[in-house]
Amino acid sequence: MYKITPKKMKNIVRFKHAAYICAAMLVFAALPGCAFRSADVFRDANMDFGAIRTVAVMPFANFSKDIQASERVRDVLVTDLMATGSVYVVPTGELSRGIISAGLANPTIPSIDEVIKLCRILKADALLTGSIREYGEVRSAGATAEVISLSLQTIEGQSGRIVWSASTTQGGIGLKDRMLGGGGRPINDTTEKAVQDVIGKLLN
Amino acid sequence: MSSVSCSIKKILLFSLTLLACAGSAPAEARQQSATGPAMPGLRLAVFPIDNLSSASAPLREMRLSMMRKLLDLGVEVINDESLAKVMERHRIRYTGGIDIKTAQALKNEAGVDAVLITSLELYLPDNLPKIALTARLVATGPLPEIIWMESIGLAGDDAPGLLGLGLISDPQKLQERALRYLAGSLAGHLHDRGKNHPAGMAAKTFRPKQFYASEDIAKLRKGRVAVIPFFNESSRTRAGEILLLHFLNQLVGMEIETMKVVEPGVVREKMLNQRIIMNRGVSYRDLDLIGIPLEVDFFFTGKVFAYQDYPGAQGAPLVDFSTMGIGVENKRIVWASASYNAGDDAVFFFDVGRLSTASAMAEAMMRSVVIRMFGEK
Repeated sequence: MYKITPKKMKNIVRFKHAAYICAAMLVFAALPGCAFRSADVFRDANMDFGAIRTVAVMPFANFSKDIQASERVRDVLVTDLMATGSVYVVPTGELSRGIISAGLANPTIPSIDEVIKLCRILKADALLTGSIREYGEVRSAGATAEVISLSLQTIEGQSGRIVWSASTTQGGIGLKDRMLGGGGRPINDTTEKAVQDVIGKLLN
Repeated sequence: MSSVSCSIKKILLFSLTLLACAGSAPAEARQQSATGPAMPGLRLAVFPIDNLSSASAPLREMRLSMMRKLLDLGVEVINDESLAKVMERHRIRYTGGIDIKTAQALKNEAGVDAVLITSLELYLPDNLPKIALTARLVATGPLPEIIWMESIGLAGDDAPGLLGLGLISDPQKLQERALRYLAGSLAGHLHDRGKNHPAGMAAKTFRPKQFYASEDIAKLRKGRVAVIPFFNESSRTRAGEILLLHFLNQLVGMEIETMKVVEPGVVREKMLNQRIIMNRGVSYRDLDLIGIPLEVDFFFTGKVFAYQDYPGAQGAPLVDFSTMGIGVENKRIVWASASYNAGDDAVFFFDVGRLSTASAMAEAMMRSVVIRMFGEK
């Protein structure tokens, strides 16, 4: 019969402790990374996304302190969407004229009727609406970093239904920033990363 | 003893060379010398300087200095009285561009062949002064055409040299240096001394961060292009017009003979006549209203998010803008780009590669955009 000697027992306990410490370290290392990883993606299973060829990117609702946030993000999104070659984006000037023609009270949250009317005016297949939840600098102890958090929805132009929705958060203070200090990446780089992430969710 | 004196001589010679290098600025190095009459029979009018800097500046002195420099370089400039008479008769108040009516009036009534339009972009007469100017020569006649264009942005600490001997603290000296560069470049062009300014290689740092180019962009080389002031979202007043000038400068600088760039004054006149107010960009209706009568094939515009200069020695300028090009014929976006940079982006050690003015940065960034637009690397 196998007998556990006190010495062996001591080794087992030591091994257990080491395993716990390793597990705890792994969890701690992964936590900061998880903190700014998003997110939920909704995709209408009945929608043929290949049918969407022209989109209009509406002004975003801005819940951040930076008054330029909405326009900055929209601008990057328009260029990046065009660069994918998958969809054509209505020029912002033409969109502004369309919004005035359709008489939209609040272009950031159009009603179903307004979506259908605007898409007809602009000859667009869908509208992209969104909101900027966070945009700018965050501080924690001695570390500062830029963070952006945004969500986007695609509203189909004929029915006014939301067919796709996603959100992303990029930047923020990570473990490296906490440990080593530093100011993180510039806001423009973070914006670009967030936009590319959300476009990836839309097209894949 | 003789070997020691020889060494001392060598050291002195080396020091003198260093001192001489310290005082010279890059702008002066690029200046072209011009002697003799420039394009005989060509008469120029120098418009009052358009102040885009929103700062008080000696505009009159600058203009007179520019006129003197052009005369010295052999360029024929009409006197102030003749120009003032035409301007008064036709109630010309806007001097940042020239429309068709004004161009014709100057041609017929004052015998002017071309107008020099100068814009002051930046004027900071501090201890370390900064100045930025853009000038273009527009031919008068039935359809004004841009003949030459150049811009310069200088700071007192652009070339500090050894022990700071190259620092310029006198704004007058810096102003003269900028005007001399512009006058030299114009005279050089009129003497047919080659290109306006080489488009050159765009620094990797200043390349657009994102861009889209459709297949139709290739038609730009044989098209007629108009640039509309950029939509200004920045805190700097008239930044939209400043970016327009930088974009225009690079388009003209490409020297593509088959591509025609419409004088912004003509576009402005058309927009005023048609009561067009730009609402966050150009709409398809605006494209037709301006594009069809002016026979424009492509419109370019954009947005400015940041255009920041800084006073003194500490800091870095910041420029953030996007551009968009739309074809008039098919109403499609042919080009879109986004660029943002800080003045110290290209610095790796000892401030080498630092740019001190937003103007110099905008020029480098726009050059990169235009080069990418024409498919060059």
